[in-house]
Amino acid sequence: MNTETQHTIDRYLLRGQMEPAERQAFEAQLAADATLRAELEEHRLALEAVDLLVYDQIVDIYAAQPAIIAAPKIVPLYRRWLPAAVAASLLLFAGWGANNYAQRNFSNAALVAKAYQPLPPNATLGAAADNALREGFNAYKKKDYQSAIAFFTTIDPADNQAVEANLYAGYCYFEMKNYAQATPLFAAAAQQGAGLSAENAGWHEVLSLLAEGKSASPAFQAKLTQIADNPQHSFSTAAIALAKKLKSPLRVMVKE
Amino acid sequence: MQKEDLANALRAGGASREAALAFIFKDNDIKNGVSWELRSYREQLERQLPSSAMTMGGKRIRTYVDFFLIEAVFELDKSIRYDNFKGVSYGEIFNFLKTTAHRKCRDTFQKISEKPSDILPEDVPTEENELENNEKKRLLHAVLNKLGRSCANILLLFYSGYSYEEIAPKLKFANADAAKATKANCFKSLKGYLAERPELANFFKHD
Repeated sequence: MNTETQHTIDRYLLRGQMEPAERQAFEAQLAADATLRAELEEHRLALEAVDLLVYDQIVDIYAAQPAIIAAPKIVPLYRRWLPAAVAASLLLFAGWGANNYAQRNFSNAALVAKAYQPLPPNATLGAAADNALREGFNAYKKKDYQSAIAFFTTIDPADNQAVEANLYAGYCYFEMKNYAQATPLFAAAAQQGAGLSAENAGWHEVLSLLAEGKSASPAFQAKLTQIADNPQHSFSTAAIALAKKLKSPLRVMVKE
Repeated sequence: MQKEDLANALRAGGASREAALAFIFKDNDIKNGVSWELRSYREQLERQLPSSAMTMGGKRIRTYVDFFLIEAVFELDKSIRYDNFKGVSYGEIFNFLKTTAHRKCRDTFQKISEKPSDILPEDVPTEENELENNEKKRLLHAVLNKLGRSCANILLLFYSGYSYEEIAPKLKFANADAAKATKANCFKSLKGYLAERPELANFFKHD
């Protein structure tokens, strides 16, 4: 094999040195020339021998470098699990936070506590010494709810102060968390009268039903809508806000 | 050298290639990546291949991870030399080295498992294997020795990507043409010596 053939084969085999057209021509030559094919095969074998020199050179280059201590047990573990663990912790924390937030702001108890607005005893009737309900108001102010209830429930339904009597009897039961007793008293007060006391009674009937856990009941929905839809009602704005909160997605996280 | 220059430097051959090879052996990410790839073989290989016994060409290989990394680097270098590796990024080189080291380690592991008493005359670079069992490589080294150091040097330089213009001053030739003529004669001699050893030709044919 002459020197030029040797260089041509080198260019054919190594690093893509041959242009496609030249490669095609050389391959055609190979196909036609058995001697050239044999030379190519010998060339390949010799290059395999040269590879041994290359291998030794690579080992020399390796040996000249400072040792690196691989840390397979630490690095991959860190890379694989730490981000996942951090993400899981954050998710858990975020979940806990959202749950906590929902419980504090969207539970029935939280909504009722924020919306509860009992009238002060002298708001409608004044503090006149001859007020017929004075005994009941005094007991109510002293948080002696049983005595207050005992007094308010003796008032004749036909009495002109029956609305207030039912309203405050409802407050007493409400304070005692006896919502089942409070609800009908608020309802009666709301039906009996008009004005501030009746509107307050209507609003607290809604809250009492909510506290009872009846927010899905038709009665609750009807009362809430009635107040919310009446812009003249003192609690219209509060009713709209309550309805909005009851539709919040966070309500699904609330455990009652 | 930057990571993203690695492929170009390997392709450039010569001194750039040598710097790139050194960079690979110094790169923590590559070492750790290969080490992680071989983790499932760790215990058995450490038992079968005590690092103190591993040598290549008289050089001690520090760990079995290094051994398979060298094998993978050799494959990468060869693939680039023959234009079979088309990757251009550091990530592609990284993946090539990891998967090649894994494949070679897996093959070695399988051979150990199949023949626990006959430990890999060709695949495991123990001193004993190198001196006694690896007859074919010994013969090949003998051929290369017969070729002489200066011929071996010029062939190594040329096939590792140095140009004749670079080889000439390095090996003290008058000019590039003289280097080219010497390389051609050395290659011809190598083929002649190989022809005297048909068993070596068979060895390469079956590789």
